[in-house]
Amino acid sequence: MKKTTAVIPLAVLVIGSFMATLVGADFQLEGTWVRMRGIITRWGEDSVFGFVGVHAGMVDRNGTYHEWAMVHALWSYDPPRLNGTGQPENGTFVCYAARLVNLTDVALNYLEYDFYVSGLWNVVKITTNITVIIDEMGEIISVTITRTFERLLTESPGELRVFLTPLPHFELSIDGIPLLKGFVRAFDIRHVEIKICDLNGDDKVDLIDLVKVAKRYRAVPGVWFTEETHQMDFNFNNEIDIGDLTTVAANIEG
Amino acid sequence: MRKNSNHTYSFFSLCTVLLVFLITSILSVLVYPAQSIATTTVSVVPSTVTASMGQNFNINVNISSVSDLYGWEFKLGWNSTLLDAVNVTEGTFLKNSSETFFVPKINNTVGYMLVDCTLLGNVDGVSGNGTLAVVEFYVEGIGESVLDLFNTTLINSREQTITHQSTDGYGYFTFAHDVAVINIIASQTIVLPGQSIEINVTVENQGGYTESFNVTVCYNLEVIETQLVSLDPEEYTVLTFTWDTTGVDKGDYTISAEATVVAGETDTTDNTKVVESMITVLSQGHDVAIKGVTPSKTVTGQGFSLFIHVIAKNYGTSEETFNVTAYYNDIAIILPNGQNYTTTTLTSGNSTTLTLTWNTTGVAKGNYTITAKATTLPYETDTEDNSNTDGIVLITIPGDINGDRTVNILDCIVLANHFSHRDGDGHTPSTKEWKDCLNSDINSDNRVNILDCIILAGKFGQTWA
Repeated sequence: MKKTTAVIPLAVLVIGSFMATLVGADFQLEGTWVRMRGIITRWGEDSVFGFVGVHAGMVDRNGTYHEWAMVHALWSYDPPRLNGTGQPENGTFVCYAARLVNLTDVALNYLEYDFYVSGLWNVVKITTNITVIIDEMGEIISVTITRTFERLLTESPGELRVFLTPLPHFELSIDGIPLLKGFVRAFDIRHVEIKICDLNGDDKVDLIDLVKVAKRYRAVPGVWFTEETHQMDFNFNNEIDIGDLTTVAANIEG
Repeated sequence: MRKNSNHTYSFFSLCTVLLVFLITSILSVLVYPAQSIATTTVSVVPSTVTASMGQNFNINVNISSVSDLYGWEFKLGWNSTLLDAVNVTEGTFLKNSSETFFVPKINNTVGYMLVDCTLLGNVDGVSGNGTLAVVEFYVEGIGESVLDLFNTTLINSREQTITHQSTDGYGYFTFAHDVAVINIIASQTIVLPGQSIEINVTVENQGGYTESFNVTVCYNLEVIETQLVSLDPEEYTVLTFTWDTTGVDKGDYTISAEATVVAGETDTTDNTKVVESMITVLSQGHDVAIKGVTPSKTVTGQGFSLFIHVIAKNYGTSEETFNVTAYYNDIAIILPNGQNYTTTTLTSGNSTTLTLTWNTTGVAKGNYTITAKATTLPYETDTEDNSNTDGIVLITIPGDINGDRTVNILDCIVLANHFSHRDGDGHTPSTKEWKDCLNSDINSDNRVNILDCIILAGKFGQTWA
């Protein structure tokens, strides 16, 4: 972390400090956790629709400082199908996904950015073919989904730059593809751990979080894949699968 | 007056409404009692468990009167000094409806488990009654323990919690009643006629109570002797039984010891034990026998070889040298050395397995009964068992593996099923699969391989007719 949280909006700081006093006293972990959700609206000069999710930590674990960040973006020229919460339809759906695979730096209040992540990124193009078989009564008999992944970039340098004022927005700049832009929908800084699998924000991972993921089991972009679903893709394979369920289950506290 | 009249009217109206409400309420309780008292309940079943130390027992975690259950979670606690959780498996309630994800976490050090389960996908929840999970415990101590069901959570398909109550179970864990025969040894395995041998039986009280019980030793199903023994917990003793073989026919006998099942005993599998090797009772004088004769294959190609396994035994009291001959029907089999017999020497009470090679060259196609005979010894009186007949061999066209007298695709399928097998490996002896495997080795080189395929291919399409 290059700077402290001095210029973070006062309310966030006050609440964060208060929480740290209340909850962090018995913690072995001390540090700052950041979670951000954003909506992607532009890709270069084009209008697109997509999501970006960030989960980062700058943590002192028993005297050892380390920082980490997970960033995962997904976007498409075809917004209705990216949301895809209606009845599946035959067709082909194309979307793009970027994933931070090697972190260089994560910082609050770095240069003119309120939040900053840099590192190496992989970018893939995902083509999803959806085949729906419907009976005479209009009931779905089966939905067959096949996906192909075309690697566009491997470990390409890039930065996520977040600005909270005047309007919260972000830029995701990855060498080799046009600049991605959008607005910040949620930005959360805390001095107590933000648990990765805590989907309902009740500061614990429990059955409710597991059920949320289970309900979206096998969802992929184009079929039952919403912004909320994007947050559940803990292994960043752009599908809600057994790996995501296992991640939640492993984090349920006994 | 008008005011009073209005008050009177209002009073009666109020009474009428209250009366109607009261009657309706009573009727609703009477007519729909089930709906009004049905509460979703998660409970340990059976509510009371009694088990003995060293035993395993199961409990179910059941649910009743639930509607639209999509996911569930429970914690179950117990006294970790008394019990160990061995296993948790998912019950049928959700699983019978749709695909599920089930995650148990067991902590036997602290004595609790956390179990989660959810349906998968955009499906409706399950309603009704059923079993959520089955938990298997091992009893490792004596005492009582609550089977504490706590922090139960039920979620419906709209991701809302379902109001419910939970009911604990309770367990009583006592010492076990358990006796066992832990060893049985005979002083000798070959016995002269009329001789007595000693059989030492070690019995142990593996339970937590003093037990008195009978121990009976038998040869085959005949009782040799019964003794009464009394043992304190964890005590063992060696009992000596004497078997007087006077009047017992020559033969091979299984010696076993059995401890009677004591009241309350559930682990009865170790109440019986058998001497590892059979005891041979000899006959006086000279006496040899053929105990068994088995061909290596039941179907063989004309012109190819197979093996006849013969078990010969000397029941006499002297060492004997004698000849063994194998026959197909009444014709003596000529061995590769040009003789029709093989000579063997056996000491008293011993046996051997002889393997005789039968080359079927020149033998007409057909079914043949296999017999083995031992030569009668000088002064041998019991010659009835010098001959033994067992097994029929079909001599047929090479490649006719299934013995239907035609070489066709069915034989190919059998051979393909057993390709690369050796000596019937992987199959239970005497089963059809085992016989098919052995018969597939057409050239009897102890493996089913390409050479057998070539033989079959060369005769493909041929029939007896």
